[in-house]
Amino acid sequence: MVLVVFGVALLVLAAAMVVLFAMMGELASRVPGPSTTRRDATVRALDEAQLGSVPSSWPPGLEAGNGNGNGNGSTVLLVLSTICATCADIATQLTENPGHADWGELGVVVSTSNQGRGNDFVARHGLGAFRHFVDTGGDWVSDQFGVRVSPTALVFTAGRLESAYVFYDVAALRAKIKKEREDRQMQREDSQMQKEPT
Amino acid sequence: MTDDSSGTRATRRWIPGRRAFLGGVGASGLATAATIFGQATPASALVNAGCCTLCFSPSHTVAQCETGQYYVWSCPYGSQFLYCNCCEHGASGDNCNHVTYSSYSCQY
Repeated sequence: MVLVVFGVALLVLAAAMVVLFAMMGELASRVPGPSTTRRDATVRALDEAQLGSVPSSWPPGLEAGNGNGNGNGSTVLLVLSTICATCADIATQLTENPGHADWGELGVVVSTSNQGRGNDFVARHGLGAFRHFVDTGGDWVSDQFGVRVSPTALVFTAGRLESAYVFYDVAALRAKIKKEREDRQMQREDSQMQKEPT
Repeated sequence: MTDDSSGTRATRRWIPGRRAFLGGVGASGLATAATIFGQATPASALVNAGCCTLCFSPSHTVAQCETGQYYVWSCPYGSQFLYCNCCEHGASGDNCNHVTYSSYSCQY
């Protein structure tokens, strides 16, 4: 009798294992492979941005990026909007694909029609890990810098808006900013060398 | 030679049936697990138009939208110099609750 019970239990267990492995196989077939999305690497200047602007005030959440908080006085604000389809992809790039948690000077401004939708956007895309500000109506970013386009990047040096870009690929944007800074540094060094007496 | 080839054909006939059966078992198991343990995510009713993500299908012009209380924002769309203006009218409440209608237009 005991043998029969054990036999039935073993049979049920074996059937359960088969079902389990079949489920895993089915699940694996439904999961897409590694993303092979090729994003547009274009990064171009945003003409309408008021370069040279120094914001009269920094909103809560972005104070540390006003040029005094991160050592070298530089910061980059990414302006995303809840109404912009590409901005969701930019947010995904920041958090997981491929992720840019190492970008210390980064801040995110979420322009939105209302606070609730902005908060949802931040929560859904995990932007809470970055310095961020939900800009209702886009009032702060448009009043301070004349920007009403997303996705855009505002690059500050010592609290002053130095350059502004429209972009689609965060990695391409970072490379562009890095190259621009290196070029400026070389220009400064060249001009200093020319000023020095021979 | 003949036996080998016929044996191969027999094997090939049998594998898809086994795969289909196990696939069916797996799909049934997943469906059952999803029914028991799964929690549906909130339905998203947002509409994509151009580069805009709107609360409703566009029903008015942007000029009409830009009256009273509204939210308008731009985004680059496809070609480098094509921009869309995305507008939501009456956007005062949380999420899309108080949006009365949406509109968009794209231009170079």
